[in-house]
This record gives sequence, C-alpha cells and structure tokens, in this order.
Amino acid sequence: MFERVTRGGIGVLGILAAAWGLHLLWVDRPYIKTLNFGEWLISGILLHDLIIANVVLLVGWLLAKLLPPHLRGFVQGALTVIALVGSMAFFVIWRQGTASSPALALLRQNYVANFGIIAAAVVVCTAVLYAFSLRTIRKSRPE
Amino acid sequence: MPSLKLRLPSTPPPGWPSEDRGRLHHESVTARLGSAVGIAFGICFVTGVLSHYQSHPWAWLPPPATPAGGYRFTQGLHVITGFASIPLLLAKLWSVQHKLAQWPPVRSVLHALERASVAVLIATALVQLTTGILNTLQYYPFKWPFASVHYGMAWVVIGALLLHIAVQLPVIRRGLATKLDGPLVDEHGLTRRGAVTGVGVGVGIVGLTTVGQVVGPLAKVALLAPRRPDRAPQQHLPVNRTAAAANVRKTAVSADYRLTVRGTSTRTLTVAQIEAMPAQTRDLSIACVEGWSRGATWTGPSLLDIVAMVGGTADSVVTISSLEKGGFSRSTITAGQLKEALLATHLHGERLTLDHGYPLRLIAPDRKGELQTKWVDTVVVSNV
Repeated sequence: MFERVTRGGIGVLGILAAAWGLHLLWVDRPYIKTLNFGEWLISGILLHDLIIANVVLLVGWLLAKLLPPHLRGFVQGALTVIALVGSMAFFVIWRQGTASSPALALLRQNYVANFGIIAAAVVVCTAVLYAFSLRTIRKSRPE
Repeated sequence: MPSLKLRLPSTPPPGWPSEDRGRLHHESVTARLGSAVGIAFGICFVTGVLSHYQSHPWAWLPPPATPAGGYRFTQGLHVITGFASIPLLLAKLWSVQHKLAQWPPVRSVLHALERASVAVLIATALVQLTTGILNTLQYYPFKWPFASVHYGMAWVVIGALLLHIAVQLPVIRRGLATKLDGPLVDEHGLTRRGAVTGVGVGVGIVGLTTVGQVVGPLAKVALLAPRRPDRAPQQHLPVNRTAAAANVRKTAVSADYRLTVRGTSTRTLTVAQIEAMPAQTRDLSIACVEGWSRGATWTGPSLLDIVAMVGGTADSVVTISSLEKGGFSRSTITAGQLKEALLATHLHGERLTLDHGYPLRLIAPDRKGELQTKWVDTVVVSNV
C-alpha cells in the first residue's frame, strides 16, 4: 500500500512537472524553430541507438573474440573509462581554439594532448593492476 | 483491462536481435547507474532553478547577498554535474541497451505509453546535456533561445525522470538490494562490480578534470575544463563578453561619457567625479552562468552612496543600464545585494580594462555574472 502511494505520488509529481515544462516551451514557441527542435530531439535518440550503442556492441564482441579471458576484463575496464571520458573530451576537442577572444580564457587548451595524457594514465594504471593480478595468480598456484 | 492488451506473436520474427547482451546488462548495474543519473539530474535541476531565480526573482523574495559565494557554488555544481552527467547517462543507456530488442516491443497501451515516456526522457535529456555543454563553449548551432528552452526542458526532463522512477521503483529497489560482491574482473571479463566501478572512475575523471574552472587549487588538473580562469590574460580574470563584442569600444572611452543617476532628482557624474568619491574595496567572485568562476579584489564607490544622491535607500529598487545594447544591457538590484554592491572602477588595484567594463561596472555578492552589468551609464532608482 505504502509503495503504491509513493509510486503514485512520484508519478503525479512527474506528470505535473513535465506538463509545466511543456507549457513553458509552448509559451516560447514563437522563438523556437520547431522543425530544428524536433530534429535535435530525434537525432539524439538515433545517434545513440543506431550508432553509439552498436559501436559499443561491436567493440565488446571484438574484445571477447580477440583477447584472452584474464586480460579481457582489464581492457574492458580501461576502454570503459577512456570512452566515458572521451564523451566529454569530444566536445572540447571539437571546439578547441574557437573562442572569439583570448580574453575569455575559453577553449585555449590543447585538449587532444590532454585527453591523451588521461588515456595514457588510465592505460598505465590498468597495466599495473593487471601485473598485480598476474602476480597474485602465480602466487596462489601450488608449487 | 483486457481491451488495452495488444496481441502480438509470442515469438519474435526471424532476424529480430537477441535480447541477451551478457551478464553486465543486469538490473543491479542499471539500478546503481540510474540512481547516480537521478541524483545528478536532481542536482542540475535544483541548481538550475536557483540560477533561473537570480534572473526572475519574486519581488517579495529578492536573491540573497549571503553567502557571498553562494551562486559560485551552486552554478559551479550545476555545470560540473552537467559535464559528469554526459558519461553517466551514456553508461545508463548502455546498461539498458538490450531493452531495445525486447519482445514484444509493446504489451499493452499502458506499456506503450510508458515506453513513449522513456523515449521523451532520453530525447530531452540528450538534447538538454548536449546544448548545455555547447552553451558553456559559447557555440549555438541550434535555432532556439538557449536559456528559456533549457529551463523549460529541465522541467520536462525532471518530470519524465520522476515518472520513470515511479514506474520502475520495484525494479530499482530489487536492483539496489542485489549486492555486487567479488572481484572487479574474473575469468569471463569485467564483472558487474567492475562495470559500475569503471563508470565511477570515468565519471570521476570528468569531474576532476573540469572542476578546476571553479575550484582554483584544482586548476592544474583541469585538463578538460573549457575555461581556465587562472590563465586569463587580462587582470587575472576572464571576461565573458568583450567590449568589441558589445560594441562599446568608442562610447566607453568617449570624453562625453557621463553616469546618469535618476531618482527623485537627476545627477550626472563624470569619470573624474566618480573616481573622486570615497571608494571601498571588496573581495568578490565573478561567477558565470557558464559555470566558471574566480575571486577578485574590486574597488569603487558604494552603489548605495550613489543611490543616496538622488534620494534612494537600501529599500529602493535599482536598475543598472549599460552602454551595451541587447540582452545583457540591464539588471535590477535590491535588498542585501544592493547594500553590498560597488560600482567598481578598479580590479586588483588596476583601473578596469575596457573588456572588464571600463569606466564602471557593477559588482555585488552572490550574483550571477551576467547580472554584474559592465560599462554602466545609467542608474535608475525607484520605490524611493
């Protein structure tokens, strides 16, 4: 009973919040190019479901085929971290150097190099963890 | 309600993709990632509403002046959480990727509505985060006004998220109750615990390498931060809009420049007269809506002293206008912020540069950067 009331309450709150948001967007409609807005909404889902999701699936499948079982988990972990950091790095790499003036101190870093440093650090940390795990396995084997 | 049930074959058609995507796609992983997304979106929503309130306050509840760094904290948190939400949301979507292949795709009208609400949540969340980050990069490839649509869509996102939580609550509880014990990797690869840890590390790195645009001591590791306030070429502080972009390069340095103060009477002041007024020095940060911030030392006459020249008091409503025309040309200041505000002439002991608002700029505590009006030329005092 308590859970039903809780779920009902959260649901009603959600519907009211979304309705208020839609009302605000409706008020703004003279300033919104509706077709462009719709394109963005649909593109986000298509980009994710058709491209990003399938690339991830393909990479996972390749790792399973190509890597030995013990190494696979470490590579999966490192790639997960690098890919997630890359999802943010993509934007700053894409727009690097495009700020209108140096006074803004905006997008003036070498993001390709910076992302490389982060990726390299992840690889090194993963390699160290892998080396430790190999050592643990060797030690646990009977002589 | 049997009439609402949809009748589809019990087995999928030939060629339909398999729903089995391995052991990582499990509700224990999804519930944890989903909870993190929920918390992150909740933080973004609350801090976003606070930011919106700075620009659209109720008259009876003016934005406070304390704590002085309040907006700096909430907006910094808003933007850094937004950055971290990008990888977090992608990871959450990955964890439920297999549901795209579920059969039947819809079981009933109610189920179709639920899936439609999830589609709305995903579409709006992806657009909200993408356009949010593009705004911090000052890039606007979309054809709608960013601020008002970002605010309206925030309500849609949070509403759709609450609805999703209401529908999925039993699954979330079951997933969170399932422990993720054991190693991070085993003989089959990454474990569920390893996957959640990997996402946590990735999201943590995004946070750590961007938060330096708000937290000065972490600037050295701000490898992915769009802004580097510590590397600003002018007076150790970035600007968000230059004098050239605001088209005030001539008017701001013109010999004809006068500050007009209107209240029960009208006064006009030259730059020399303003500089001759008793000055105060305050340490106040500039906190931009785009998330970056930096502390600075400002000097100039108290705004309240100028307001008093035309009969105003601390209870007045004061509108500050700029030489600049357009969206950021005017702001209103009242109550606590008014009492503490300066019309700054100097930054870090040096005369303001043109890009920082020469000859005069407003600076007040706990105030959104775009409301710290630059190139001030008119002060209007009402409710005197």
